[in-house]
Amino acid sequence: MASTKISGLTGVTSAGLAQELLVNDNGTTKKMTIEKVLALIGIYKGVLGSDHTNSSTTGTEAFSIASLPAGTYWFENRYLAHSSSATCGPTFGVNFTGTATTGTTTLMAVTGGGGSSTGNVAVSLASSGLLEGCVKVGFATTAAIQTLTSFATISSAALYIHRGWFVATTSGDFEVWHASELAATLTTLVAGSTITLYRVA
Amino acid sequence: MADVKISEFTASTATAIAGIEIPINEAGTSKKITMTQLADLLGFYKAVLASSHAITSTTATEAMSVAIPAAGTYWYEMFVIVESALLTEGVYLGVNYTGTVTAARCRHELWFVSTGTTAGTAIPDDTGGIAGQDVEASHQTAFSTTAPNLQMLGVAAGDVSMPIYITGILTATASGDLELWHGCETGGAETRVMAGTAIIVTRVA
Repeated sequence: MASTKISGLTGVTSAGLAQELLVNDNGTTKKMTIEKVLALIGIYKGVLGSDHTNSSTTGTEAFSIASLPAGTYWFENRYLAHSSSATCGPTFGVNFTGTATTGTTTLMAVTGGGGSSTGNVAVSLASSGLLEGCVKVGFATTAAIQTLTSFATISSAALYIHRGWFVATTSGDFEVWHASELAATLTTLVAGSTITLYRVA
Repeated sequence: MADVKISEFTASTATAIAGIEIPINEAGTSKKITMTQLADLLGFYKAVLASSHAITSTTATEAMSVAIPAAGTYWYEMFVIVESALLTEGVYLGVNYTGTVTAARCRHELWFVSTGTTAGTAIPDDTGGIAGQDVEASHQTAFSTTAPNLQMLGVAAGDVSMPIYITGILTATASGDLELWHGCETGGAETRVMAGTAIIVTRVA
């Protein structure tokens, strides 16, 4: 093949995960997909494609990131969620399907509490709210998942932040589970909610 | 040109991504990709405020922004440093996006350590010397510009920097700028968003 300078190549229209880069792998010239580059850097991202609803206190899986390799992870999930009742909160858990040592997970949201905790999640509040949260050690799926207990404005989403860490000793899927705090009360995890995982070791 | 192993090339000393191109295989065709395109795919956008943004008006103006190049799902963090010249003059902040969005999928909130311990004050503290102070917060569904909707009512100390945290989630349907707007509570004294304030945006999809 005739030699061509990089500048002489046709430019791609847009970057894609399946595209392959030329790399030096410890003295040997090889190719590597952009997806592999991202994995080596240790960043995994996922987004919920369509609303996930639940009217039961039994959690179901909402969305996930598949096939994470073994490692130590820190996650930062952002949920958009709402409730059909002012006295019922959406509840959340995270799970890992491989073998893992579970860390601590913290779910946080802004409430209308001012200086006193209320568990009443705020939706439109310019000032004097309170950052409230709940902490759990370990994963959760169908039961015992985390919530704030009421909702200020029904059927309009609030932002929840779910953070935590775990140490995976085998590969597996990282999952977000969602349930309703109360039976027969609809709660919705809204499309556009996100998972971001960082493999730190 | 004779074949050369990558390991034998001269290492690049570039300090910015502009002008950097990488050879790439796209479905069997050799092409090139710019470092800017690759950075967009990795999905991190950053900005820092180079010089302080000061204002003495209740009509806010834009303090800083980050360009978001394409439609997608993003979350962002703004590490904001604020000051006020007067204890009773609070800092008002707003978040705006100039492109189009799916409004039901956009929310943002502001946190700060307040002077309150058992009751909210809406006043950010600068030293936090008392254990157990509240983390007060705001939450909004709507963007705001000249009339900011993330509001603090005074400051604990005049002309002293206070750390404020804004975070949000955004589904953009077109490119645009994510902006931080800044105004005064009453217009009775100068408030500032200080140099070093930073925005980090992560593209998830």
